[in-house]
Amino acid sequence: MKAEVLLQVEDLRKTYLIGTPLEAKVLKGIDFEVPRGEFVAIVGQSGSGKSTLLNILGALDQPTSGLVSIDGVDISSLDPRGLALLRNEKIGFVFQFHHLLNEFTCLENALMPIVIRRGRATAKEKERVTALMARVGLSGVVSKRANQISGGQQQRVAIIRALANQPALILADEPTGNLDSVSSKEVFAMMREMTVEHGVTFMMVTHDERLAVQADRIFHIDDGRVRISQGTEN
Amino acid sequence: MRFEAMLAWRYVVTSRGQTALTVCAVAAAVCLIIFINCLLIGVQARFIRDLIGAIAHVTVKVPDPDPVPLKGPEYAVQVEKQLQQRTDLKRPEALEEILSGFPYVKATASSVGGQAFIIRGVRQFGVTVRGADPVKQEAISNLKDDIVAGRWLTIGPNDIVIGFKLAEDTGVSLGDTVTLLSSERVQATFTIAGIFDTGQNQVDGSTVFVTLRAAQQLYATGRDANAISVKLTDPWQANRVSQMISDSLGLKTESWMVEQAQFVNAFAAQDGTRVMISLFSLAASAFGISSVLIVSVFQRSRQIGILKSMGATDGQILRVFALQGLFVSLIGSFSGALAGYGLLSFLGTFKQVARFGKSDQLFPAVLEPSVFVGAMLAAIFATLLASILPAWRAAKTNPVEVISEG
Repeated sequence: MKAEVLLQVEDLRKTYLIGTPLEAKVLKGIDFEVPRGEFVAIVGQSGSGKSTLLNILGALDQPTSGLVSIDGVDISSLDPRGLALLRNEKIGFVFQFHHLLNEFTCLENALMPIVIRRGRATAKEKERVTALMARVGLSGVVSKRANQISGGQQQRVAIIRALANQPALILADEPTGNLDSVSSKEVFAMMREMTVEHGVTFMMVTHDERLAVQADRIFHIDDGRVRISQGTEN
Repeated sequence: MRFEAMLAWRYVVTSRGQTALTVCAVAAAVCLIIFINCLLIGVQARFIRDLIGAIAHVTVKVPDPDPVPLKGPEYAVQVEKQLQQRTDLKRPEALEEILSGFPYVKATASSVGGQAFIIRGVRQFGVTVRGADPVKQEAISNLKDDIVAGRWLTIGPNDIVIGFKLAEDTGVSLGDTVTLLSSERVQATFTIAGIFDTGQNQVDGSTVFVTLRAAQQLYATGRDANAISVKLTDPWQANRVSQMISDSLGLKTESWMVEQAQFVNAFAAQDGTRVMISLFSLAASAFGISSVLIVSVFQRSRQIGILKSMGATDGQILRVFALQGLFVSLIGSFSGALAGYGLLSFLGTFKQVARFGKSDQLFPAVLEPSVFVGAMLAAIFATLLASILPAWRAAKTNPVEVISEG
C-alpha cells in the first residue's frame, strides 16, 4: 500500500532579482512528493539552493512560482497569520545553530511552540516533553538554562523543541553542522529514532555524505534541479 | 497575550544591565518632572500666599462719576476725569450678602480706609488706615499668623494694630497709646493692641488696622463703607467674578489679576517653563529608551527569527517588545515617583529662618498628587511610544535572513 503523501512540490521555482536585468535562478522547476514518516536527506554544493528549498517548504520564504502543498494545504493560499499557524502546528525546525533562548530553561525552550500557540503548556504536555527529553538523555538538564549545557545537548533540546507540537514535518538545516563527530552521530541517531517512533517526516539538509546515505531517500540539488536516489545504508 | 507578557517580562528580568539603564532613564525623567513641577508650584503657591494672601481678590467700589465735557461750540473740548470724590457704598452689609451669592466667593469684608498721620509728640508719621471688622478682615488678609505681639481678632474700637517696622520708627510698643489724625481732620487716640510682621516692608512700615466703626468715625462715613473686599475660593477666577459683579450690580470692581498683571505674567512664564522642562525630559528619556530597545532588538534578531519559525506572528513579536517597554515604564515611573517623593521630602526638612523666629521651608515644594500621577502617566505613554519603533522593527524581522547567521 502506497503511503499517504504529506509534502507535494510541483514545478517549484525561485528567482532572486539581483538588480534589473540581473537575476539569479536558484530553483529551476523542482517536483517531488514525500510520504508521511519518510527521512529525506537533501545534499548539494554550497549555493545550490538547499536552504532556499527548505525555507520555502517551511513557509519562511515565498517561491517565485510553483506549488507547495503540506498535508493537503496549498501554502500559497495562506495569509501571514495562516502561514504562522501552519509553521506552529505542522512544521518543526532544527537549524545548524540551535538558537535556544538563554532566558529560559531547557524545558521551557522545548515547550516554546506550545506556549506561542496557547500561552501555556498543560501538565500533560510538560510531562510528554519531559519524557521526550529523558528519552534522549536530557533528564539532568531540564531545569538548566540553555547556555549552561553543551553544544550537543543544546541541539538535542532544539530537536525536542521541533517535536513539541507533534508536527507532521520537521525541516532540519545542517543540524549536525556545528557539532563534533560524536555529538553529530548521536543527534542523527536521535532524529532517525524520532522519525520511526513518532511517524514524523524528516527533511534534513546536510553536507555530510556519511549521514546522507543513512536516509530513506537522498535529494541531490544541482543547478537548481533535483535528482532523487535511495539511501544505501538505510 | 500570555506568551508575549511572559517573554517580555523574562527579557526585563534577565537583561539586567539594559533594564537598569532604561528604568533609570524613565525614573530620572519622572523624578525631574515631579521635582520641577512640585517645586515651582510650591514657589508659586508661596508667592501667591505672600502676595495676594494679604489682599482682596476682588475689590468692589462705587464707580467714578462720568466726566462731563464743557458745553458750547465756542470752547475747545477737553474731557478730563473728575477729581476723586467721596463715593461711599451705602448699606454695605446688604451688599456683602448679595456678593456672597456670586460663584467662588469665599468671604467679604466692608472696609473704610484712607490716609492719616500718627502723631507722637512733635513728630508725624504718614500711615494708611484700614478699618474693618477684624474677623471678616482676617478672612481677607490673613493677618493672624503675622501677629508677633498682642492680639488682632478681639480688638475694640479704641485699639489699633500696627506693623513692627512702624512700631520701631515711632518708638511705640504694645499697650502704648498713639493719636491718629485722618485726612478728614478727625483725631482719635488708640491703644497699641497688636504688632504684625507680614514680611513686606511697605505694609509693615506704614499700615495700621482698626475696627470698621473706628475707621467710619475717623473718615466720617457714617454707616457707609469705602469698599468691600472679596476673597475667592480660586484666585485665578478673579477677572471673571470681577466682571460678573460689575455687569450685574453696576459697581466698579478691581481684580488682583489686573492690578498685579506683572506677577500674573510671571506666573504664566513660569508655567510655560515647567511644561517645557517636563516635555524635554520626557523626549530625552524616550530617545534613550528607543535607542536601547533598538540595540536589544538587533541583539535578539536571531531569537526573533526562530520564534517566527515556530509560528510567532508579527503581532505577537510587536507586542513582546511593546510590553517590554511598558514593564520598563511602569518600574521606572514608580521608582521615579518614589525618588521624587523622597527628594522633595528631604529638601522639605530645610528651613529658612525669618524675623521673630518664624520659619519657612527653604524649598517650598507642594507634594501635589496630580503631578505624581501626571508625570507617571506621561512617562508611561512616552516610553510606550518610544518602544513602538523597535517593536515594529522586531515584528518585521525576516527569519530567513537572520536564522542562517551563527
